[in-house]
Amino acid sequence: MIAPLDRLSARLKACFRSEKIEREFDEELSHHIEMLAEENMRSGYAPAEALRRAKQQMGGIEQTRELHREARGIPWLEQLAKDSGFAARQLGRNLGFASVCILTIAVAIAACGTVFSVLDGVLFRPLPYGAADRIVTIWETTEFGENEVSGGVFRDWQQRSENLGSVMLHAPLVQNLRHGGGAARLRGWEVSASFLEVLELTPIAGRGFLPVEEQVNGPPVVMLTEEAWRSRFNADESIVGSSITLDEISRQVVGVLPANAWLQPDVEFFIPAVLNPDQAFRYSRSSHWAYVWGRLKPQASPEQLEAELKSIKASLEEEYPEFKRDWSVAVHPLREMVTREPRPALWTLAAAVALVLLVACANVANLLLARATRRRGELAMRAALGASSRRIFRQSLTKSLLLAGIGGALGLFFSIGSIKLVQAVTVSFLPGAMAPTLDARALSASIAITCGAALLFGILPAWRSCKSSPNETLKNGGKPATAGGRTRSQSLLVIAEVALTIVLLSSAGLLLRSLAKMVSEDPGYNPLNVVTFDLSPPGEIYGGREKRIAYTTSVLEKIQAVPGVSAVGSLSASPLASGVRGDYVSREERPDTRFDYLASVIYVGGGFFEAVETRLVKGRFLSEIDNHTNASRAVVIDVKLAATLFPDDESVGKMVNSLGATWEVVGVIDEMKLDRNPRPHGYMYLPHAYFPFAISIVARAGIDPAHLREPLQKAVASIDAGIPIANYRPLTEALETVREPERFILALVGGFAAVALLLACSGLYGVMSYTTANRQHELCIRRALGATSREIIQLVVKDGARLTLFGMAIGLIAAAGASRLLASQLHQVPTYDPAVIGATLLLFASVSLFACWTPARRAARIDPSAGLRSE
Amino acid sequence: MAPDKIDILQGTLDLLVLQTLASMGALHGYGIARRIEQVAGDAILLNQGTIYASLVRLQQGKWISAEWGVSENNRRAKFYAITARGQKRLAQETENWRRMADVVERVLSSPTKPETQT
Repeated sequence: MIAPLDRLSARLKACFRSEKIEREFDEELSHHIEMLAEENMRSGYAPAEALRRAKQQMGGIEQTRELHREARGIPWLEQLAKDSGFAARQLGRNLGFASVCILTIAVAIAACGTVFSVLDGVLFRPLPYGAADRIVTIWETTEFGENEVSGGVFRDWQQRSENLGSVMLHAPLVQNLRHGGGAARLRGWEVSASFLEVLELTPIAGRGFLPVEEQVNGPPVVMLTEEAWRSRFNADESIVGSSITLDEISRQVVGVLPANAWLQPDVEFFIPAVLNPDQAFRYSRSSHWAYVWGRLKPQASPEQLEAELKSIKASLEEEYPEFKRDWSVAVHPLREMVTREPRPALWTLAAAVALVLLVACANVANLLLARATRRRGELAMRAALGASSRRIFRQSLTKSLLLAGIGGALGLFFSIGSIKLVQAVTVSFLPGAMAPTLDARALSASIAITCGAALLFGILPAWRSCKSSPNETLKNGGKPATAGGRTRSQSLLVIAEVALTIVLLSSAGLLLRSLAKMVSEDPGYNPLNVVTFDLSPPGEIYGGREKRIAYTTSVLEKIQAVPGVSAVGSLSASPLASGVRGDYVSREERPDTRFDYLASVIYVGGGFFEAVETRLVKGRFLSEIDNHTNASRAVVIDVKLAATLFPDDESVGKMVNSLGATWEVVGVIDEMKLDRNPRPHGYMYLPHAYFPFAISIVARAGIDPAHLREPLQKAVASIDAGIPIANYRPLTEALETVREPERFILALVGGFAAVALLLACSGLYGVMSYTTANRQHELCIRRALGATSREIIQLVVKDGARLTLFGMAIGLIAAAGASRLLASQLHQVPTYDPAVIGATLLLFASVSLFACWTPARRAARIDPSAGLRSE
Repeated sequence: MAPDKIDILQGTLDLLVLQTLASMGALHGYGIARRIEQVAGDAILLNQGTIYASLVRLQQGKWISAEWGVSENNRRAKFYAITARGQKRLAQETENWRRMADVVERVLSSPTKPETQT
């Protein structure tokens, strides 16, 4: 028929000029009728009769106008505009009611928008790489799970895999940047030259690495991140081609990576990872230090790759070290690895905000229902005058849409602020590429949720408003015919609100308990008054063990001399950050168990144990004599490892094999929390002389940490000004930051629980007020018949209590189910924790009692004769 | 309304209006309605008002154009005329109608199946 576009544009035009068109058509219509009337008169009819006949022949004036209107404009749009105008005027007359609804919706939408942006950033947003679903992470696996990869095995994969288009390894680094008079410690990564290919990333300036640059003795080069380029190098235009000095090596800057390209926070540089055959640690198949990512060829799948790599290992079995006989390979898509850990917590967040949205919708629905029932008389009149059920339904729904629209817009405005707030909080544990932002996706999600909410809270009131039989209502004088003062829907909505709020409250309570347990957990040492920082002496100057041991010893001496410092020690890992290594350990006389137990390894020096006040269980701590080369190798183990290796006997004095040597156990200590992901079988502490390559310092001092920093910096600089202290923080802070994600989730869920509580109670209050207002007649009669104030109050409160108790009962059952789902995120908290359940019920009962009490008191205060007269 | 008059579908009405304008030249609404009633006789149920919906549609598709003028009784009236595009459409639709009528005719007049011999 007609080209749809032509018709649409014609209809749109007609919408805007409808008044003029209407007038013109009226003129046309009256001309037509005149002609018809004249014809009828010629046939012999009297003028009045002729006119009447003419109108009949036309088919009715109004109907013809209607047909014309339908044909020319966009009828549903015009209808919508009219209904919206009507609804707006209605709402304008009841600003209080409208603002309560709008505010409720706004808060709920803001919360939903914020949570969506958080979920979107982590779970849904595509990674900032080309065809990111083709990128996989590859791991060597032990019986205990995924492990880092060794250089040798990486080379096997690189040379032999047919399913990998490109593959790279990478490992974190810290290096000192020389600038001006001093040095700064930067975080960076060493990466294979193929890394840009694997990621399908383009530098914003310069180029990536060339294969020659990852060869041994290749030209020293470096790439910077855009963030580093802007903040540290002032967005210098000529940065590419210039040189910077990292760890005493002058490197040429060859390129700049775009912002947020790397999925770790605070990264500033990249250098090529060189696999030198002379460095067995990096080159062989026996030591594991790197992360491997690869890009699948177009036809390959992760499963195929995994199978292929396993078969490569099988074919090279002889060349593999013995302890890897039972090791295997695992391939996981990048997105899956990155989202694995945060996923449960994020879904909890989504569920919590969904509950808040439901409570908010129930509240608004209740308000609308109360309003609709109050206006029953007017609605009955309209129905009697010919408004169709559909019309009334549509009008009511339009009103809900209007409320939702305004509420949603306001909510969006609120979410600008709330998302900014959330951004600031998550910046420490979420990489830039996954940060929550208010982008087009969050916007569309908010709009979609708003429409959904409008339907949710609008359907019930709309349905009720068109269902009312006008006859009965008009007979009753416009009053609602329900006994008890409210409709069943209103009761059910309140019960639902109460139930949902109970679920939220108890979940928040469980999370709170869990966090409290985690935080108050004894770390196994005394972190108070201890500061920690990291040092990285550059390999160029401090090559070889002697130089590094000497450096460590001097630093410890110098720091001990700083006034206020009572004890100082070193360790090979940054506490609760990174660097804890691991290895198999077994009893010397049980070589059959050589690869059964995996323990964490930390090398300690100076007065480490004294500085953190470790608890000694048996034997002695390590001391300076253990660092001498001709001393026998001593090791201190913790009780967990002791129980594993020596379940039935004394461990002190026994010999164990690990790290390719034999060690004598000289002491047993309490377990200490020094690592985020400890190995399964406990810790071994060895003298730092055996591995002086990573140095972190712990120092106990009675001085405020802020004042301590300067003297410590000076002490360290006095030995070598080119080595700055980095990552300086009190040890208590290190322990706390581990818990930041949990804290964040708890804060949000707790906030939502509070909002829900507020909404549920105001909903309860609203319904009780409404009910007592409707029962005014009945209550006044009771009073007149002699009921005391107290009895009236009891009556009302009992009514409200019935609602609340129903809701709480359902809520408890639902909460039990919710706790089962939460169990995986809870730390040592029983699923049905009586303290949490009790606190929730108590809290809700007291708040709801108040919500019922006030209307009850108001009802009891009314003078009965006045009340009856006002009917 | 007499029950034996046939209701005309929208598209068909559009066609009739086009044909009327093509053969009679520019007409106003009353004239078109009258003419259709005249030609098609009393067999068409034409609620005279329905042609206005047709006229709007035809205008939207640019098959007819409209202009205000003066009618035979010295009143202001809107006159409609067929456009070149409308002529083409008319020819096309007429052809389609004829073809369909032909097919229907053939189907309706096909011989009935002979009785089976027992």
